[in-house]
Parts: sequence; C-alpha cells; structure tokens
Amino acid sequence: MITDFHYTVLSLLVFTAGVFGVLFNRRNFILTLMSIEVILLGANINFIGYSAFHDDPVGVIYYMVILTVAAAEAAIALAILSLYFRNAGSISVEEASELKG
Amino acid sequence: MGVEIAFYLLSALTVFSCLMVVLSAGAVKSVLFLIFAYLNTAAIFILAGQDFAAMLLTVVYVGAVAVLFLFVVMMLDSEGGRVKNAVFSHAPSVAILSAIFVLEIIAALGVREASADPEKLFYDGVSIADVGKVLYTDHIFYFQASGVILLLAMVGAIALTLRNRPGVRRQNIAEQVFRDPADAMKLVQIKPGAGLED
Repeated sequence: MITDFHYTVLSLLVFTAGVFGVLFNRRNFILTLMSIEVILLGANINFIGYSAFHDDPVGVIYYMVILTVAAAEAAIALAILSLYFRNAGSISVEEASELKG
Repeated sequence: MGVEIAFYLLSALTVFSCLMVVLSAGAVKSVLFLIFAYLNTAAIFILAGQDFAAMLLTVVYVGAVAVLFLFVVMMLDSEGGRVKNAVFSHAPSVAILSAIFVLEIIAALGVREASADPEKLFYDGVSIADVGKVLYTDHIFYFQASGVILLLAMVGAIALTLRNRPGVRRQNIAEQVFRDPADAMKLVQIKPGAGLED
C-alpha cells in the first residue's frame, strides 16, 4: 500500500541528494545549479504527493509556482555564469575567490 | 501489488539518478541523469493520478530547463578547473551530515499518524479542470506573479549577456533608408583619352 508517507520519504531522499550535491561539489558551478534543481524537484514531489492524497488542487498551483521560479532562476544563473566565464575564463567553484579579500 | 512495484522501482531510479547527477564524472552525464530523474518523477506523478503535473514536468523541465543546461554545459569549458581532484577531501563529513538529516526527518515522520485515506484517494488525482477552476479564481495572484517573474527573468538574462563590442560594424537601417540618390551618385562627362581624376 502506497501512502503519503512513501511520497514524503521519496521527496526527502531527492531533497537530500540535492543538498548533498550543493555541499559536496567543488568542481564547477553548473553542478551546483543542477543540485538546486534537484532540491526543487524534491519539494515538488512533496507538493504533488500531498495534492493527490488530499484531493486538493492547490498543491498543483504551488507546484506551478515552484516550476516558474526554478525556470527563472536557471535562466538568470546561467546568464551570470556565462558572463563570469567570459571574464574569468573558468567556472570552478574553488577558483571563484575574488571577493575573499 | 503492481502499483507498489512500479512505485518502488521508479523511486529507486529517481533517487539513483539524483545521486548520479552529483557523482558522475562529466557535466554532460550529469545533465542526462537530471533528465532521467525528471522522467522518472513524471512517471511517479502519473502513478499518483497527477497527469497534468507530469506533463508540465516533462514539457518545462525536460524540454526547457534541462536543454538550457545542456547548451551551457556544451558551450562553456566545464572541466577546466584546476582543483578537479580535490573533491573527495570533505566527502565523508558531507555524507554523514546528509545521512543524519534523512534519519532525523524519517524518525520525526514515524511518530505521526497518516493524515489521508490512501485507499479512497490514490487513483483520483487532480484533473486539469480542477486546477484551472482554482488557479483562475482564488489563486489568480500566483498566476500573475509567475508571469511577472518570467518577464523579469527574461529581461535580466538579456541585460546580463548583451554587450556592445567596440570596433564591430553594424548595419544602420535608418541611414540606409534615408540615403538620397542625388547625394549618392555623381554623373561625370569624360572626354575620350582624358582619363578621370579623383
């Protein structure tokens, strides 16, 4: 029997995989952005699961808002990233240390 | 029984591909695993009866966001960092922190009772008509705010990446349109054998 508990655990695991990626990755900044997308996917699974089990369409509306924000965030972040790559010649997270002082 | 097997299989594939996004060797492989995770999640949504959400996930995430990531990964030199192999120095502490986080929340979830009746509601889902009825009436603010957010993102992305390089010759259409034949051409009578000066 699949219950809402299963959906919560699934979303928790996906969310944690994303958090793990943000903390773990030091190689390039695109991987950090993809990890943020995975985090938002985990939140979306939670919204959609509870929307299905409670038969409530408001969860789908919040899901659409998260989807919009994720798309906008990806577009802005990739624009900043290509600008940074043009100026610095590298997108390594470790090498981006000009603000360190 | 079949639903349970499908759910567990798709969940395992989703979590596996989410981890492979982080752990795989190249950035292109990471994007492909991200697409695989999205497709598995869409299948899970269909299993829950949420076919509209599954369609939105496939169209927006796979069709737009993941392809955008793929373009940028292909365009930039994503493997160019000097510190490529310094990754594993802090891996154990991050893994232990993540495991503690998961166990803590599962323990917190275990003590509360299930809030929904799964037998009654599982296959119902929410149809696109239900979503539309709520979205265009009670939650119209979110709909319009999403539009404003997308407009801002578009303007921001264009303003960030637009640049005017000096020394590049550009077409000036107004100048071309307002060019007058009287100024542009000169008719000259040349005597035979005299040649043309200037």
